[in-house]
Amino acid sequence: MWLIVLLALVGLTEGIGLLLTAQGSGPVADVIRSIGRIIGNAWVIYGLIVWREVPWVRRFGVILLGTAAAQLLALVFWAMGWTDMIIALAGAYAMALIFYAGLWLIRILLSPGVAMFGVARTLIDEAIRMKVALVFIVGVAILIAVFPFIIDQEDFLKYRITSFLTWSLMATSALLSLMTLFLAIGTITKEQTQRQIFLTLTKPVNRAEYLAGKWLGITLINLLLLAVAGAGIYAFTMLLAAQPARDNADRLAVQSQVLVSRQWVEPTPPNPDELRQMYVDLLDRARDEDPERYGGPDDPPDRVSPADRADLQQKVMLKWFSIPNQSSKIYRFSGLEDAKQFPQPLQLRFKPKLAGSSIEGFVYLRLRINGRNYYKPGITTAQGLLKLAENNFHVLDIDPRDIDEAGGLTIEITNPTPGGVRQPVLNFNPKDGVELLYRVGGFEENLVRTLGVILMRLMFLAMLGLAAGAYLSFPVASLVCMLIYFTAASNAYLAESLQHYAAFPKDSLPFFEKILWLIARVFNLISEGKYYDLFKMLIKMIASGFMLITPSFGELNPTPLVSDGRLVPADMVARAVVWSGGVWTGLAGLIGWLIFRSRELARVTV
Amino acid sequence: MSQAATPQADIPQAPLSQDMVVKCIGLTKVFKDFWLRNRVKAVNAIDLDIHRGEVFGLLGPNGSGKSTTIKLILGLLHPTAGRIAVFGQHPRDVKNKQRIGYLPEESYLYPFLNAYETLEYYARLFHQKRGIRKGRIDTLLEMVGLQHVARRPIGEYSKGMQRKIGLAQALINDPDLLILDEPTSGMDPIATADVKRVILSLAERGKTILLCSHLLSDVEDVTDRVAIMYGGKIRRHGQIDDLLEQHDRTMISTPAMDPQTEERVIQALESQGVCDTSIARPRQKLETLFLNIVAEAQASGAATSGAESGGKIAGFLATGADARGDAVIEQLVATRSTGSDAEHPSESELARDESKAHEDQVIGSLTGGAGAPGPEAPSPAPQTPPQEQADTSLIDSLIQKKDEDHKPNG
Repeated sequence: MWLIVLLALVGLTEGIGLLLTAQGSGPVADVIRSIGRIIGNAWVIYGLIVWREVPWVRRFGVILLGTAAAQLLALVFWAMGWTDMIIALAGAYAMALIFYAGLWLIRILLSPGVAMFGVARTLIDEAIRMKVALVFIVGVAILIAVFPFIIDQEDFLKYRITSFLTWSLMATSALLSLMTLFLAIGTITKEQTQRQIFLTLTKPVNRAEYLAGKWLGITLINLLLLAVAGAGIYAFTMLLAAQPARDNADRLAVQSQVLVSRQWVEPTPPNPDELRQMYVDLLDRARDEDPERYGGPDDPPDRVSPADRADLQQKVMLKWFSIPNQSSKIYRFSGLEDAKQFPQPLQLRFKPKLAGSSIEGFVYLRLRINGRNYYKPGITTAQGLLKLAENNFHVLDIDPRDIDEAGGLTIEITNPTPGGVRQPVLNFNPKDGVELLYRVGGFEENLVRTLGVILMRLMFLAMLGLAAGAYLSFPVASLVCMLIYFTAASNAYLAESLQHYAAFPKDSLPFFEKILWLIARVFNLISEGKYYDLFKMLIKMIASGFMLITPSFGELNPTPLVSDGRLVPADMVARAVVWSGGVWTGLAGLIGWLIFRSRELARVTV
Repeated sequence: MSQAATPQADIPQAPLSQDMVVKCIGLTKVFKDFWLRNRVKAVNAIDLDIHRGEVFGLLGPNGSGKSTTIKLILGLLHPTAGRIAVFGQHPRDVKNKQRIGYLPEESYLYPFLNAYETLEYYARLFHQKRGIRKGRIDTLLEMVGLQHVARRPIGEYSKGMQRKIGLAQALINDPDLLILDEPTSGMDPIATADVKRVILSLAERGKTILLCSHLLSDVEDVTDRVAIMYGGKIRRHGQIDDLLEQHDRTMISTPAMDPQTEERVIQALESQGVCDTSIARPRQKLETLFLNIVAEAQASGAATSGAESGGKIAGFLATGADARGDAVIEQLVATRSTGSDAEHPSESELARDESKAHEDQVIGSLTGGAGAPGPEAPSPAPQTPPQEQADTSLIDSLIQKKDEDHKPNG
C-alpha cells in the first residue's frame, strides 16, 4: 500500500504539473510538483518508520540511510578539500552496496526447504547480526579503500600499484582467514554451550548435514566477501592506474608489467649435456676431497645422497649463472610458440650482480640476441655495451620476430672490460635472475584466479574450525586452529628456520636409522649434560612432525604473482581446488564428523 | 506402564502393543567426572512405557532425572545401560525425528533471529516447502499470540514469550509425539492455561504427549498417567485418578444447604455408623478465580500494556474461542496427508463440523484467498509412516532379550 500510495502521489502531481505546463502555467506547475515531492518524501519517511519491520522496507531503508550518510560524509570531505577521501568513500560505499545485494541473493538461494540450507542461512544471519563477521568485513573494506592513499605518492606508479595489490590481497586473505576460523569455531562451540544445538539435532537433521550446512554458510559468506573485496581491489587498482605516472616508461611499465598476465620462461643451456658435464666435474672434485661422503671415483654419478645431490646441483646452477670477465654465456629460452602469436614485445627481465666492486654502482654487459647486438637508446654506450644499475631488476623489450621456427630464442651475455677496467665476475640469481616473459592474458582473469585460490584456502579453514569446535572449547579450538593456520602460512620459513635450529639426522638416512640416530643423540646429550641442546632437539622433533601433517599455503600463494603481473598458473588453481578445497577440507570434515557423530551433546561432566 | 527400581521389574510378557510410542527397559545413565570415574547416577534402571494418544506426566523435584530421561529419549544422551525405543526405532534414528516435537526446559533459541525467522528455520529442518512453511508459521504465531511481534528479535523477548515461540517450534511439524519439558515455566497464569488447553486439544487428536514438570497442578490438570521420579528412580506410577483417589473417604456434593439441613445430614450419617464426618463449602482453585477476573476485565475492554500478548492468547483460545483454537490446531493437523485423522475419523469430523466457519477463515488467511487454495496452497507434508506399520523389531528384540534375561538359569 505504501508503494502504491507513493506511486499514485508522484503520478498525480507530475501529471497535473505536465498538464499545467502544457497550458502555460509553468510556475503553478512547479509549485504543484514541489508540494508533491515534499508530501512524497514525507510519505517515504513515514513508511520507513511505520513498516520498518517488513523485510523489504527495512532493506530499502538501510540502503537509503547508507546512501544519505555516504553523501553527507562526502559533502564534509568536499568542504574540507579532501578529494582522495571522497574517492575512498565512494569505493567503500560501492563495496557495501555489492555486499548488501549479494547477501540478499544468497538468502534467496538458500530459501528452499532443505535442512542444510536452513543451517547455512542461519549461520549467515548469525555472522552478520552478531557482528562476528562484521568487524572483519568493515576492516577489509576500510583497508582496501585506504591503502591507495597511504602508499608513497612520490614512488613510481608501477611500484605503487604493485604495493597496493600485494598489501590489499594479503590483508584480505589474512582477515578473512581469521574471520573464517573465529566464525566456524564460535558458531559450533556457542551452539553447544548455549544449547541451541539441542533443538536443531532433535529435528530430522543428521550431524553430517548440520556440519555441511555450517560449512556451506561460511563458504558462501566468504565467497561474497571475496567478491566484494575483489571488486574493491579492482576498482582501486584502476583508480591508481589512472593517476599521473613519473614518466612514459613508468606508464608503459604499468600497462605491460603490472596490469597484465604474463607467462615466464627460465633459460636452459643450448647443449643439454653442458650442465650434466659441469655436475660430473664438480662431483669428481668433491669425491677427491671427501670420498667417504660422496663415494669413490669409480662410483656412478647418481650414487650420492639426495641432499648432497641437491647441494651440488645448486652449485652447478650458481656457476652456470656466473660469467667471469672476458667470458660469455649462452642462454636459450624454449617453448615460445604462443609468444610468437602475440604482437606485444617479449620482456627479458634480469638482475645483474658483481662478485666485487662495481664501477660507480653500474654493471656493463654485452647482450646479443640471435647473434645481433642488442641496442637501446639511453642505456647503450658508444662501445655497444649496456650500462645498467647493479643489483636492480631491468626489463628489456625483445621483438617476438626474433623467436625462431622451433619456438626458441637464444641470448648471449658477455662480461666485458669497459674502458680497460676489469669487471669482477658477473652473476645472476639462479631462481629469478634471468627470465623471459610474455603476455598471455589480462589482469582481471589473473585476479579472479587469485581470489579463487584464496577461497579454497578459506574453505579448508572453515572446515578446520568446525572440526575443532565440534570437540574442543572455543579458546582451545582457537589456539589449535591458529597454530595450524600460522604453520601452514609460514611453512617454508619455518622449515628453513628449523634446519638451522638443532642437529637432526640427514634426510638421506633411512627411517629406522634416523630413529636410532635420534635415540643415540638423546643419550649422548643427557650424558654430556647438554640439556638445552636436548630441549632444542625435542622442539625440532615436535615441530617437524607437526609440519608434516600440516598443509602448506606457501606453495599455493598467488599474491606475489598477480602483484608482479605474472600468470597465476592453471595448475596452481587446480592444485588449490584438489588439495585445499578437496583433500584437506575433506580430511578435516571427515575427522570433524567422526568426532561429532557419536558425541553426547547433553553430556555433563561432574 | 510398568516400573521397578531394578532391571528385574515387571516386563510385559505379551506381544508388544502396536501403539507403544516410547519404551525404556532398564534405562540407566551415569555421568562421569574428568577422570571418567562414575560420579552421578542420574537415571537408575527405569522401565517406562508411553502409549499412543496419552498425556504422560513425568514428575519429580530438581535433579530427579526427568530431563536426563527426556534427553535419552531424544538421543541427546547415550544410555550407560538399558535400551530405548521410540516409535520402535533407535532414539537417534533421524527419520523418526520427523514425528517428534520437543520443547526443552529452557528456550534454546537464536537471539539474533526474530520469531518468524525462528519458526522458518525449524520448518526448513523438516524440509517443508515454502507454502506449507508460511501457512504453518502464520497459524502458529496466531495461536501463541505473537504475530504482532513476529519481526522482533527473540533476544528482546521476555522469558514467557520465548517459551511460547519454543512451543510453536515444537508444533511446526505436527508431531505424533510431543515432548514438553517444563512447558509453563516463566509463563503467566493466562498463558499457562492456554498451554494446558493446547495440550488437551492435541491429546484429543490422538497425539502422544510426554510432559515433564514439577508444577504439580499443571500436570494434574492435563495428564492421563504420571510417574514420579526421585533419585533417578521411578517411585510411583499409574493413572492420575487412581493415584489421587482417597479410598478411605467419600465426598457428597450438593447445592448449598442451610445449617439445620447440614446438622440433619450429619445425624443421618452418624445413625448409619458413619463417624468423623464434616461439611464444608468447596473452594474454587486460585487459578480459576484469576482467569475469570482477567476474562471479565477483557470483556469490559480494560486497557493493558505488559500483559497484552497473554490477553490475546486468552482471547484467542478461550473466548469463542475454543472452537476457533481447535480449528487452528485442526488446520495444522489437516496438512498431513494421513495419520491421526484417518485413525480418529469421528473426532476429526466432529471438530470440522463444529468449527467449519472458523476453519474457512483460517484457510483463507493461510492461502490468501477466500477459502480457496491459491497457487502456493499447502500441499501435504512429507508422509510419515503410519503408526500401525511402525517397525517394532527393536522393541520385540528388547522384549525377547528381557525375557531371556528373566529365564531362570538352568
